[in-house]
Amino acid sequence: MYSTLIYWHSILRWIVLIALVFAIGLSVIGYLKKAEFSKFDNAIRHWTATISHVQLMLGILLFTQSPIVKYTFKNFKQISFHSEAFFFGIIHILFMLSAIVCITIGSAKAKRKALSKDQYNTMLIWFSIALLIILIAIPWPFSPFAQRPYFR
Amino acid sequence: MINLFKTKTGRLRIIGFLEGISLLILVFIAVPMKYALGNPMGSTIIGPIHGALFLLFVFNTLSVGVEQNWQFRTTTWKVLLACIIPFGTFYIDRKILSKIEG
Repeated sequence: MYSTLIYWHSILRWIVLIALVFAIGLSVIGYLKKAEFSKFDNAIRHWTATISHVQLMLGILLFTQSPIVKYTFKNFKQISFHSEAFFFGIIHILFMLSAIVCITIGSAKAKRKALSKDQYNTMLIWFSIALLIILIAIPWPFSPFAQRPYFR
Repeated sequence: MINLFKTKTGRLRIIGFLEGISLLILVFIAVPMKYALGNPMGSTIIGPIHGALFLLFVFNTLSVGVEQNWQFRTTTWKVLLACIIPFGTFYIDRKILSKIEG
């Protein structure tokens, strides 16, 4: 089960990224064109938040199963800040949780705004912050913290 | 019942209900089973499920709270606190969530 979860967690990362970039792109275009916040924009806003919540569920399940995380908390005093144990046990989850908080709040705030301009603006700002945090905390093959393949 | 799935508050209520059940199973069945009978099977299964539901509930509460302009001092903190107290989400469902339209 663990390796299946990792597989889906890894695949879904791309879908989360695509959804986020797409939503940010839509909000930039809509903002610049002074367009009306359409039903489609709204659906993308909603689905981006939902997909990221699914990814969160997978991540939490993995967090509770992961041998690396178990190791982190067993040897909490010895592990170095540069180790994979520190990255997966602490950094990854903290960063990703804060990114999800940004997406959740941004999505909800955008829905509430009365003017289309403000809706695009709110979505753009909150989703961009989330995207930045997510890009830092993904274990890219070139990441300085921990490295995992693009696909697995 | 179908109407519950259609609105955000409705979905929050469903998640709250499941979260409440999983917390009860964890606290009253799985944990006693682990420490009194030495059988950790219950908590290995229900632990991660409860963890996932718990976070889902927290994030959906945030989301609904922002969307509907809940006051943190009067509403949001109660709903957030409810999910760590056994039977808390059932209480909050009756007192707060069931009275919210849409």
